[in-house]
Amino acid sequence: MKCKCGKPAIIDNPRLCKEDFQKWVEKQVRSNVKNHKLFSKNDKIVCAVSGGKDSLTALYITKHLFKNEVHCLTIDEGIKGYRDTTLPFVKKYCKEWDVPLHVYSFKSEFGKTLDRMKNSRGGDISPNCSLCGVFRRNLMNRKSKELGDVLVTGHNLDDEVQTIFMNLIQNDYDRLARMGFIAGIKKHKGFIPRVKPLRTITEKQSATYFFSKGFETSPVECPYVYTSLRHKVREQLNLFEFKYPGTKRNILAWFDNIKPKLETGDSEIILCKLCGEPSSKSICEACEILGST
Amino acid sequence: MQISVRNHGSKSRKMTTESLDLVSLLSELSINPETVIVRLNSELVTFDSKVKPGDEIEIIPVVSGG
Repeated sequence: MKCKCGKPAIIDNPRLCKEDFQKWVEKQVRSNVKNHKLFSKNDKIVCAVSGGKDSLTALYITKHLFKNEVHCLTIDEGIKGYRDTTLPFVKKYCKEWDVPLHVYSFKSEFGKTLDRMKNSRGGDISPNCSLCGVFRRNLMNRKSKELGDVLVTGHNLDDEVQTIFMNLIQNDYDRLARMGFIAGIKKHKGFIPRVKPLRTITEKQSATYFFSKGFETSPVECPYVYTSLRHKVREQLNLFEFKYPGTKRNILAWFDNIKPKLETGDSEIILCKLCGEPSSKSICEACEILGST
Repeated sequence: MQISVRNHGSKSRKMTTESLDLVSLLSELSINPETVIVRLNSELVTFDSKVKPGDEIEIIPVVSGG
């Protein structure tokens, strides 16, 4: 099937050739940044990069579409057989795109790798994605504040819709109400704004952009991903999308419609007594877990 | 007809199929088209693309690492 310009299309939705599709993605990102004021021209940008397709796409686009100073922040959780396969790609592209790279590890920052934390919790692997998330968010917030003014993440439309569903399943109203192009509690100086320029682009569109640019990365997936609720929600949403095309975009549009009516139940933010990071309790979740493991 | 199929990052394998396009082929392989993109003879293509004998098909999952 052809693109409107007559060249072969590389993707079904939108049905566009390589050049037109790349322009389409870049236009979406520019509009998202402008319309939702994700960052301004003088902001120093820190891009959180795992080495996967979405975060590398976010890094490439942020660096090449805007004139801001861009830094790359990568977290090494210490997941054997996974992180060591993606890190070389982060290093390769940072060098190629002339982006300063800052790698922080769970091991050096918290004294334990994620694999070790799993073992000390008695081999119960189901909480690992949430456990990882607690430490990752802590480290990303702490380090990106030192490096810049705003943290760009590679979250795409699929990620957002999955998170909406996960918050519904877990009856987590506060987290649901805080979702959006700019995530988290915006008005506290302890939090760096976390922004999502790819939020209107599907996982499939993001992957198509990545490979159409000739980029490559490790095909290895995180070994813990299959244990997560997100993985199960993703599977179900993809089944719905296949049967009822437009499902994911409709869910996100529904959420964005009701979001202004949601009241955020943000609790009072104080600083953790141990690490100084913002928290709703005197000891933050990361320090609490570190104590227990 | 015989074609070569490989998952991203794996070696290719020969396969005999009656599928005439990628949608049918993915269905035959029990793959939800929402979860992958496909390179046909090294080019990204739409799923209505026809499959011919000797074609090389690479199936790339769209899920990022973790």
